[in-house]
Amino acid sequence: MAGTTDQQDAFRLEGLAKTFYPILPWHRHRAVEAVRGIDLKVPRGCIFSLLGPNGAGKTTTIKIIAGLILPTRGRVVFYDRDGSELRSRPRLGAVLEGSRNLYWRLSPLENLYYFGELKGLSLTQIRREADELLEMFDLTKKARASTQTLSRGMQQKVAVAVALLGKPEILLLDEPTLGLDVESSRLIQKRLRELVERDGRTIILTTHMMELAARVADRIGILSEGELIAEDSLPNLVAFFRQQNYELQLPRSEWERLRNDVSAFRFTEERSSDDEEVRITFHLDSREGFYKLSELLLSRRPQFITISQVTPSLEDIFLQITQHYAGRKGDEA
Amino acid sequence: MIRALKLFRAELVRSVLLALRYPIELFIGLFIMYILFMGLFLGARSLVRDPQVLSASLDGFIISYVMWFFVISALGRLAHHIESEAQMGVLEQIFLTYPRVLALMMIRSAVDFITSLLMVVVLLVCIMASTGKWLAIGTGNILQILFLLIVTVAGIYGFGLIFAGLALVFKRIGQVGTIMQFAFFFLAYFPAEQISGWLKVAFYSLPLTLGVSLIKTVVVEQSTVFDGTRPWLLLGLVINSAVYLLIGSAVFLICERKSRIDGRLGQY
Repeated sequence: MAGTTDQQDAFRLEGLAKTFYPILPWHRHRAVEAVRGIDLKVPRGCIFSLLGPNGAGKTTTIKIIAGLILPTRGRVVFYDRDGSELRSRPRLGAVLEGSRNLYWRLSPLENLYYFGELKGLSLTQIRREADELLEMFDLTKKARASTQTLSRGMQQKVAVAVALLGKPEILLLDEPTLGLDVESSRLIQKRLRELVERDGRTIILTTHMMELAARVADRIGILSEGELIAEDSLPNLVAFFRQQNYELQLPRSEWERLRNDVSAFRFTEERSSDDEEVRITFHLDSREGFYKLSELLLSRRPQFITISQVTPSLEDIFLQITQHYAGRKGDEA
Repeated sequence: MIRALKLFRAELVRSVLLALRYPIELFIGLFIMYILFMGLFLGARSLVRDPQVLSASLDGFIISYVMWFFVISALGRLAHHIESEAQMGVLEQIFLTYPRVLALMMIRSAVDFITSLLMVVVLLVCIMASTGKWLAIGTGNILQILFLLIVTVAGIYGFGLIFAGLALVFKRIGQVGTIMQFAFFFLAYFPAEQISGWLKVAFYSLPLTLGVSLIKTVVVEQSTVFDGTRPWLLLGLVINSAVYLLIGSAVFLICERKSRIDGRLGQY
């Protein structure tokens, strides 16, 4: 499922790896391999979502892209130029730890002016962009209030506004809607979509909120234990896993008769409230698996109530991929 | 150059705004320095009974104290910025927004020097009014004093950069800074101009001592250091500060790289 694209890549990761060593040399055996050889191309003008459980390497990857962490191996290439050269780096904006990216004692407007000047913008440009951004995120009325007195959602919106100053080509967002109320979360999602569709920006967001990724992302990458284990567009992922998930509904007595015969396949089992019926979802690895299962079921001739192909949610896909990967790693070990 | 001036303006505005949001911090800091000086002054007065001797040495005493005030600021403020910004979580945003961090630290040092200078003026007026001893600072020697002050303090900012670099890697290094402040207190008060030979050269090669000595020459002796009679001392002061500033910059760059390798910028 490795992604390829005809569009020009905003950046690509080439064999990116990162091992964190403890500061004391005699503790080197406690080294942590956070990222293990990631190859990835992210096309220009899309929202790319990196999904993964806690400790999968999402934040480390995004910080390497931002230049805040140096990789142990591999490199980040922006528009065909090595990102380790400071002059080669495009304009990047980032919200890495949510609302903690701001001076809390300063107002949103003062934060915008400070970071605008740090980015080398003129005062006129900052004034114009600050007005636009404050309006875009419904912050105009709170522009001069102390940031620490704002709600978490508002602080997060200020952080995104600061990251957008200077119109960065690439925006990096680490868990951008974590802990936000529905309204703030929706507004941020809407604005992100507009930035991609209207201005052609590229946005990388890490999250473990499947709903967010499913709603806004054009492409999805799944990280597990520092490895990129899947990468594609959401429709492709759904289509791929739709072919692999089949749901059978049948009487419990039939299932008891069939159970041992299908034990070689991976499945999940769910009983009805009256315990009379059972719903079985088979997770097949390949088309061959489907043929084998069909053959088996035809030979046993069970009495089905229904049989259908399941359209998986992103959460189903995520769980299936990560569990399959964990199982494979377990077998290898 | 224009970029540096813009950064300077941004840092100055930020620094002033933050100070004004919590003026009590500023006031307490100045008040403690004033009380500490008065404690030292009254202690010295109880030891030196002869008013003439006390009056003769008071000029130097005040100058050394004011220089130590600059030392406290130069040694600790850059590291303090980094510690508090790491705690707030804004440090990574700064590094991402302006990746040439050493240049930013230099600009912050300049802003810090100016704010310290303003505070010193207030402190100095309070001290001089309390002791009744008014230093001979006027239009005739103010430029010389400022030149010597800037060059001397620039060397101390080299140590400030070392502490800022260590703060990037280890985050909490406040105790080390406090110990160093006492070492510099000794250097500020050590009468290096009264010794001779190689020992004098050795002391003058340390930070602060030569600068304090030259400022005393201008203020206490009311003489000039730009009349060509002390070219080697002036050159020595410039080289001394440049060396410490360069060492500080190199250590800061090494620590910055180490911090990026270890992924410690965002940690606290």
